Amino acid sequence: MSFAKRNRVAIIGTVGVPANYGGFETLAEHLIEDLGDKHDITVFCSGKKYAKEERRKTYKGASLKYIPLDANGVQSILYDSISIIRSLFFADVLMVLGVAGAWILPFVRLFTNKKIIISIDGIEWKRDKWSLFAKLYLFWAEKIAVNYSHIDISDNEAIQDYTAARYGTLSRIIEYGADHTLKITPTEEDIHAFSFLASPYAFKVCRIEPENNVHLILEAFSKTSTLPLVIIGNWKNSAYGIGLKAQYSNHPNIHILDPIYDQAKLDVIRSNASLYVHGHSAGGTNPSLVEAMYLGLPILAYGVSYNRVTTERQALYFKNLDDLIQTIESLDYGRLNELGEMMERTAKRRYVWSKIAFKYDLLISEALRTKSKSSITPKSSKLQYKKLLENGMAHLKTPVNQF
Amino acid sequence: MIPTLIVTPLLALLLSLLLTPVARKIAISLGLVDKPNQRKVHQNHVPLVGGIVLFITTVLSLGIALPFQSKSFNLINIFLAGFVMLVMGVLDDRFDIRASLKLAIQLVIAHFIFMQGIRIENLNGLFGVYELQEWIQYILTIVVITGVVNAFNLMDGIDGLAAGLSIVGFSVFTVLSFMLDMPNLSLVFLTFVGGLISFLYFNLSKKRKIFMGDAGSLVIGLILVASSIKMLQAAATTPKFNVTLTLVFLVMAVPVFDALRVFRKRIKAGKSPFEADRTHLHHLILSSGLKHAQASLLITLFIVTLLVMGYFFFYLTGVLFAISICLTAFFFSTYLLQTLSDMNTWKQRIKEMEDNEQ
Repeated sequence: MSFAKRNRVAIIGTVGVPANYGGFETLAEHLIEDLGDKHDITVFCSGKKYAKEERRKTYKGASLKYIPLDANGVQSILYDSISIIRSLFFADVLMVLGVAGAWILPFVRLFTNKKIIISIDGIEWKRDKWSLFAKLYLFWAEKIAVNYSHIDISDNEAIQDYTAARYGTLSRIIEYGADHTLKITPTEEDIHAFSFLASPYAFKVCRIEPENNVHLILEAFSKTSTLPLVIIGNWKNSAYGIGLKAQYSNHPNIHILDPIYDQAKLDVIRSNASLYVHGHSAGGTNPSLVEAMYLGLPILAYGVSYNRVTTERQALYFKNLDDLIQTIESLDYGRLNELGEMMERTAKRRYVWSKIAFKYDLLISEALRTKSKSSITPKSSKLQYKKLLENGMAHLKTPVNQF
Repeated sequence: MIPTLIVTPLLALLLSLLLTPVARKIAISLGLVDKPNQRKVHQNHVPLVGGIVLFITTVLSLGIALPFQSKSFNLINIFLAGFVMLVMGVLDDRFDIRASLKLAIQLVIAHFIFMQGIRIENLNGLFGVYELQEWIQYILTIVVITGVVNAFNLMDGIDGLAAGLSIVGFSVFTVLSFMLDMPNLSLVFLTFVGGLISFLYFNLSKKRKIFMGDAGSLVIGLILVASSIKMLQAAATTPKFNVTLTLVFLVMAVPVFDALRVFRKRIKAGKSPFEADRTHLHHLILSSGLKHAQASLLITLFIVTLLVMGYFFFYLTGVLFAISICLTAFFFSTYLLQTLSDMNTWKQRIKEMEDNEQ
C-alpha cells in the first residue's frame, strides 16, 4: 500500500456504474478498474436508472453518489450541474464526460482550484436528434467547456482538428476500448433461432436515424444479392424507422430485427458476421465501430472523416448509393479476411481499455500540474496582415488548418 | 392645427410618390447608384435617391404648411444642418468621401447644432446628476449627435430596415411631442412619416427599387437626435422628463448599441472598428434564412416590443430599471442570434473538413 497522497477524482456525466448503458458508462467502469488503486474515485449515478435496492455505496472500490435525475436529455443539464457542485466538496479533479453542465465551469474556475478535465464527446450539437434550442445550447456549452477546462478530450483526430480551428487549443485524443466485446461461436440452438447464421451475411446495428444512413444501406442491399444484410435497431421509434421497416421487411436479401437485449445473443450475431456495415455520419469515434474492429470484422463504413480516422483509412468506404452498391458487388472474400485481420490488429493496438485508462491517468497527473490551458494559435495571428505583408511574412497568416 | 397634421404628411407622401420616378431617372443618368459588391446583398444598380426625395418633399410640404402657423421656431436651423448633411451624403454616395472628412463635417454640424442651443444640459437627477458643466454639455452633445447619426447610417443595410426604424422612431416622437405640447415638432415628425411610407413603397418594390443612401440615413439620424435633445430640454424640470428620456433612449438604443456591439467585436478580433463586415443585427437575422423584408419587419417589431416593454417597466419601476431590462433583452437576443449564426458557419466548415478527408 502506498502512503503517497491519493488524488480524489470525481467522474461526472455518466448514467452510472455498474455499466448497463453506453460508451461513457463503460469507460467509467474501466477507469474504476484500472485506476482505482491509484486514485480515490467517485462516480455520480442517475437515481432514475438504479432502483433503491440496486444502489450501493461503493462499487469495485469507487464511491457512488446518486442524483435523482436522468443523466440524458434536458435533465442532464441539471444532473451534471448538481454533480459538479457536489464534487467540489471532496474532489481534486473533476472528470466531466459530456458538455451539458459546462455552463457552471466558469464559476468553478473563478471560485475554486479544482482541476477540470472534460470530454466533449463527438460534435454533439450537430446531431439531428436535437431541437434547434438544444443544438444552440450544446454549441454554446461546448465553447464554455473547452475554454474553462484545464484539459479537454475529443475522441477522434477529426474532432481535434475542429477544436483547434474553433478554439485555438489542443484537444487530447482518447478513444474507446473494445476489449470487453466477446467473440462467440454459434451453437445449434442459435442457428435454429437465426437461420442466417449458417451462411455469410453483412451486419449492422444502430439507432434508426437518417444520420446513420440506414435508408441508403437498405436500398443498396435491396439492389444487390452478393451478401444478405442483417440489421438490428429501434424501428418503432420514428416514422423514418416504421417506413423503412414496412418497405424492406419482406425483401429476401434483408433481415430486419428488433432490438435484442440479450447481450450474448447480440454478440453471437455480431461476431459471426462476414462484413460490418457502419453508416454513422455524425461526429466522433463510435464505440460500435471500435468493437466491430476488435472482433476482427471487415468494415464497410460511410466515408466521413471520423470513420476514416478510426479505421486508420484501411477499411472500405462509401459516399453514396452507387458507390455502396459497387463496393458490395465487388466484395472478395480473400480481401475481406485480410481486412478483418487488419482491423483487429489496429483495435488491439489502440482500442484496449488498459491503454485508454493509462492515457486518462496521465491526463489526471497533467491536470494537477496545469494552471491554465495554453493556446496553439501562433503569435503571428495577432499581427495585422498589412504589417506582415510589408515585412514579407504574409504567409504566416495562412491558417495552419487549411481545410 | 389638426387638419394641417393630416394634410401635410399626405402632401409629403403624394409629392414623394410623384417625384421619385423622376428622381430615379436623373440618378441613373448621373451615376448616383449603388453598385453591387461582395459584401452587399443586392444584385443590380439601385438609384440612391430616397434621402434626397425625402428631404425635398418634407421641406416643401412643411414650407407650405408652416407659414400659416404663427409661432416661429429654430427648426429652420436644424433643417439647414440637415441640408449640409444631405449634400455631404449625396457626394459620398456618388464619389465616396474619405471617412475622416465625413467625420469632420459631422463634427462641424454637431457643433453648429450645439450653438443653436440644442444641447444636453441636464440629467434631471439621473445617476444623481442635475445641471451639467458647460464643457461636459458640449462634449456629451457632440458625441451623442455624431454617434447616433452614424449608428443610423450603419443600420441602413437591408431593404426596409432604416425606413421601418425611422417610421417607428418618428411615430413615438410624434406622441412625445404632443405630450410636451410641441405641435410644430409633431408636424415635422408626421411629415417625415408620410415621406418615409412612400420611400418604403419604392424600396420594397422589385422593378422601381431605390435606396435612401447615406444622404437619407444621415439626415434622418440627425433630425431624430436633434429633436430628441430638443424634447429632453423641453421636458427638463417637468414630471414628463423621465418618460421622455425612456422613450427617446429606446428609439435610439437598437442602432446605437448594435453599432457598439459590432465595434467591440471587431476590436476584440484585432480589426479596425470601422472595417466593414457582415455582423450587424440584420446580417445575423439574414443568416438564419429570412428574406430582407421579413428581417426588417422582425427588427422593427423587436424595437416596438422593446418600446412597449420599456414603457411598461418605466411605469412599474422607473427609468433606470426599464432601460436596463430593455438593454439586457437586446444583448441577450443578439447573443443568441450571433451564436446561431456561428453555429451555421461551423456546420458548414465541419462539412468541408469532413469531405476534404476523401
